[in-house]
Amino acid sequence: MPDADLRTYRQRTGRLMRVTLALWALFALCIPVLVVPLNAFSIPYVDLPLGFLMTTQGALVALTLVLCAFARRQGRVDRDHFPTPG
Amino acid sequence: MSATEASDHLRRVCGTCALAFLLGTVLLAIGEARGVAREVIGGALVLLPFVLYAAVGIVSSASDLSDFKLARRRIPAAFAGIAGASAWAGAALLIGAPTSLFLAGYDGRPLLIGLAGGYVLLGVLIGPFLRNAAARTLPDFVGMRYGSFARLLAAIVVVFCSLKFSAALLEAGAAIISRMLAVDADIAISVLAAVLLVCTLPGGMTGLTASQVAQYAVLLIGSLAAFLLFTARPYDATAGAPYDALARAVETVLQGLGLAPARSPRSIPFHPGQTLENLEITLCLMTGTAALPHVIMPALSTGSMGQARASAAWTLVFIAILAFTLPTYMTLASTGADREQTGIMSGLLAAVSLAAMLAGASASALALANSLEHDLCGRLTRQSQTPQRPLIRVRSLLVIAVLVAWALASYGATYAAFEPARLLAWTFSLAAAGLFPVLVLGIWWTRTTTAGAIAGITSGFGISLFYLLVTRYFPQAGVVQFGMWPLADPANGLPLVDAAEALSHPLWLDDVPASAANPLASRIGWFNVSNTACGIFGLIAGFAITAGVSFLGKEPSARKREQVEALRLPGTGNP
Repeated sequence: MPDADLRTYRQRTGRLMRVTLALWALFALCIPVLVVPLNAFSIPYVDLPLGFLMTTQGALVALTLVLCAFARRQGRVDRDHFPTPG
Repeated sequence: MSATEASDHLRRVCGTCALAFLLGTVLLAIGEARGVAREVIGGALVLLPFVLYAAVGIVSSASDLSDFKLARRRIPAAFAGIAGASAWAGAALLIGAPTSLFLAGYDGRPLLIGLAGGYVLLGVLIGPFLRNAAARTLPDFVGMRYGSFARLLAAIVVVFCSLKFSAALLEAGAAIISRMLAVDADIAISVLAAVLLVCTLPGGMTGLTASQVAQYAVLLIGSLAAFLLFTARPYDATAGAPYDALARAVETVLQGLGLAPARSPRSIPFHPGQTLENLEITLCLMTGTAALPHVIMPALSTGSMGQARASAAWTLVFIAILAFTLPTYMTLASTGADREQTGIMSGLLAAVSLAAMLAGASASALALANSLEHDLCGRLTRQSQTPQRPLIRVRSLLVIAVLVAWALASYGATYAAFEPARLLAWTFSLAAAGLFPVLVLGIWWTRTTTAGAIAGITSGFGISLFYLLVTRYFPQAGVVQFGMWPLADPANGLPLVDAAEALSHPLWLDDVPASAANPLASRIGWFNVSNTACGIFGLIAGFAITAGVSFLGKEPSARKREQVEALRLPGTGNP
């Protein structure tokens, strides 16, 4: 496996990982801490405080989407650099 | 069996069980309308799923050891996800249930993040790489990376945590059974343990996955059915519920999601300090999830690194689905306590809880048995054995594991010594403290040495265990000798208990080990960290000490470092 190719793989993988973990930290750690200031915002139609919504259902949905996107993306990167025979 | 065979089998299981449960529920509903006693209906709704799970377990028999332990690594990612989600539900219902006491205020819903966020950590940092290394169990990987002694330590942590997990769920599930079927706790635990064995003994991993899929079907259908039944009730003028069925449906959903201000007045934490507490517990739960053996097992039984990664994502998807139906169920369960419930309703609610508890307990038990066989016994007896012997061995170990969990649950139920929710939180913390740092550093930092790992596991697990034991069972020593002080009440920031005052009473002073009634028990600590988040200390210590000792020691050989780097490249694992 040529070195340049390997390096690109590591770069792409590393970047993907960092982005994913940053998003994870945002939704799992930061937003719950910021719940009080976030509550100042309200979703217009249903009239709900944003902070509360995020820490109950919003974070879960967000994390699910993040992980699914990561899995898909990383799978593509893997296939690009390590094509499976057949 | 091949991947497609496994897929077909699981799909058939899913469909059949969903149909059977649905049919059964409808028939029982009709029966109740015709006047059958509600106890009978309720009991039937509890037993019917058991029969389903048992049947599923029996038809999914395993033929050899590889089949038993890891389903020959042929579980499709989506089904591994379904199985993982049901096991998750067991922990979630127990920790997040409205009656859980340890997270006063804020309704415990941030726990949802804690229990689910861990799967991101699993899928990004841990799962795919353990699968790539073709590890058979979690301690197996630790052994590959760090050698036999580290593997032994990891196995000890695994045994400890898995036993506690299974015992806590068995105990909680038994409480439900004994209420529904009006039997003793002991009998209830035995029934649960028996069903668990029938699900896992014949088929091992395949049987487990299949029964978890069946349990998920019950979880989903049961909570949806309960919800529909609730909204279809005839209008009850005294309850003040909205007349329109649709309006009632919407209100229930909103309540369940915690969005109806009338029912959940606390939409913000009581005071800023509570946010920090929530963060600590969330962190412990997340890192614990990513390090618990029964959470990692489904990833190890998939077909490849990419599949392992996908299975974590699938688990989150199925958890998200449940997270929208289960809170509604929890609302119904808590409001139902005030009034007489129909047999169908209480039966459905019980069936849902039990499905979740069983899923979790059986996953943990099988992970435990696999570890016992592979990491402890398999290493001790070196003589070559015929293929059938290991199968008998792992099955016997499974029975032994379930018996020990049964004994622990029995003891807990009889003496009320354990509070299942707190016990479960400890399990996450201990797994997080002992295993998470070592796993993450082992995969991502080639400089990690064996000595570092050994020090890391011991210190992380040790510190958290120490904190937990002292704050709960020896609080007197905690205050006097270890400089702990009372935790703050989340409602007003004042100390929960007056330590000096409590210690002046000989009754509490001499109460060693402390009983649950002791005012000091679980109410003291360092830096206002509740013992449910004891993993925090272990995590910090684990990372720091593993890194520190590794750094101070000799660098691992170049070959070893290459091996670790290769771990992160796809294709080096078994196909």
